[in-house]
Amino acid sequence: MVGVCAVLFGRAPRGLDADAVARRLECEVQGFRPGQAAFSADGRAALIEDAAHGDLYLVVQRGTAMVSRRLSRKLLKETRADDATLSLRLRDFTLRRAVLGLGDAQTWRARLEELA
Amino acid sequence: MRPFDPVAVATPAFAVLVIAEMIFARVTGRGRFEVRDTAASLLMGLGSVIAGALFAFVFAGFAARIAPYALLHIGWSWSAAAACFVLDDLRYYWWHRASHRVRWLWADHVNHHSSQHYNLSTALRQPWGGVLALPGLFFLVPLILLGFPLAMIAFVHGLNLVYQFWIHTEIIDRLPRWFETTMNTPSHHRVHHAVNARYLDANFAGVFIVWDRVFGTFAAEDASDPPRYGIVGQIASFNPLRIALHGWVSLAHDLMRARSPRDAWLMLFAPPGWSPDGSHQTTDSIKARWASARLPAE
Repeated sequence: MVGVCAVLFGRAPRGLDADAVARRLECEVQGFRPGQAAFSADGRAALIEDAAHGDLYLVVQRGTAMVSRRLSRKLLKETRADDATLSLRLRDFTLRRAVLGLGDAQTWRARLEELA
Repeated sequence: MRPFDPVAVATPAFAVLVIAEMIFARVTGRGRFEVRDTAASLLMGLGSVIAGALFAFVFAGFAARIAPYALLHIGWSWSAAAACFVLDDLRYYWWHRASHRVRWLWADHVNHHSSQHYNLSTALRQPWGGVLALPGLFFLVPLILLGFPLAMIAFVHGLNLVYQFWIHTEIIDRLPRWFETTMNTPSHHRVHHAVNARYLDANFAGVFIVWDRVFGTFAAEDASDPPRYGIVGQIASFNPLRIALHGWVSLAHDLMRARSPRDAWLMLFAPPGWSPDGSHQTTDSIKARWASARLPAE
């Protein structure tokens, strides 16, 4: 069955699309208004601000679906950044790590450090 | 009448129908599949069968202790089996409703809802930890005390599960009105698997949707708000072990941080999302916020 599924639906999914991410968060978060956003170079993850509430969301691609988390100091275990990579470790049993290729990784890291 | 395991008999048909749905979905564009999601669902189904076989003795032992106190001694007949089927479906409704409203039971049942896809393979995504969800066993007590044979209860429950397989699909839209009124259908069950605020905690029925209509939990699928599937905090893993454990890990994590016996009790028995400081979302709070946001527009 998995083999048949792979033949019929096995193409690699497209990366995250900014509109789709915003639409998804609008559905998930009452009153969500998209603010600043940064998409990983590989298209598999994004950080997006909720301008209405001042929250920051991590959105990752899982297969053809998306998974989002509202970031908080409690959820973030470790944040590392070099010139072009932001690496997050989370206290989340099914989403333990996210790596984003971002040109301004240090800026976003500083932003994450300010989270409540 | 010789009982048999309806699920075991139907399993080859399940496999054929899953493949047929894949082909139909690919050709018509109706229905969605994801390879790793499907693989996870199938492995969850396999694991559930193994776990069920390993822990069948818990069910049998529990039932055997209660059976001597039965009020009646109902023998095997088609009419008794039909009555048992209807009453077992009523039991299923309440067990299922409790599995969404009681965190301890949700820790197990959440696995069935953990896919963001909705197709026949999702029907096979079954939990492994039924033995840990002990309060669920008590929903069997009335049927046993009424005097239905244990094998009959197991048999009709198997039929119930077989019925529920085919309703996990997006390729069937609506069925004739009389059928949608009385029976659980793909449309009703899509609502049940949806995370849209308007659909949360609705349509708990197994076979007869009339239970939801009677007990006030029915919600109709609304074409203007297509279901989005999964759980409120979507999981980010296709690993069956992580899927099977995530509800239990989350519950254990919260219990270890409970500051009083009352908090621990409520973490076990209050609705999923309950927290001492009210900082987490429950389905009730999500629905209330959604309803209040709609008011000015209507």
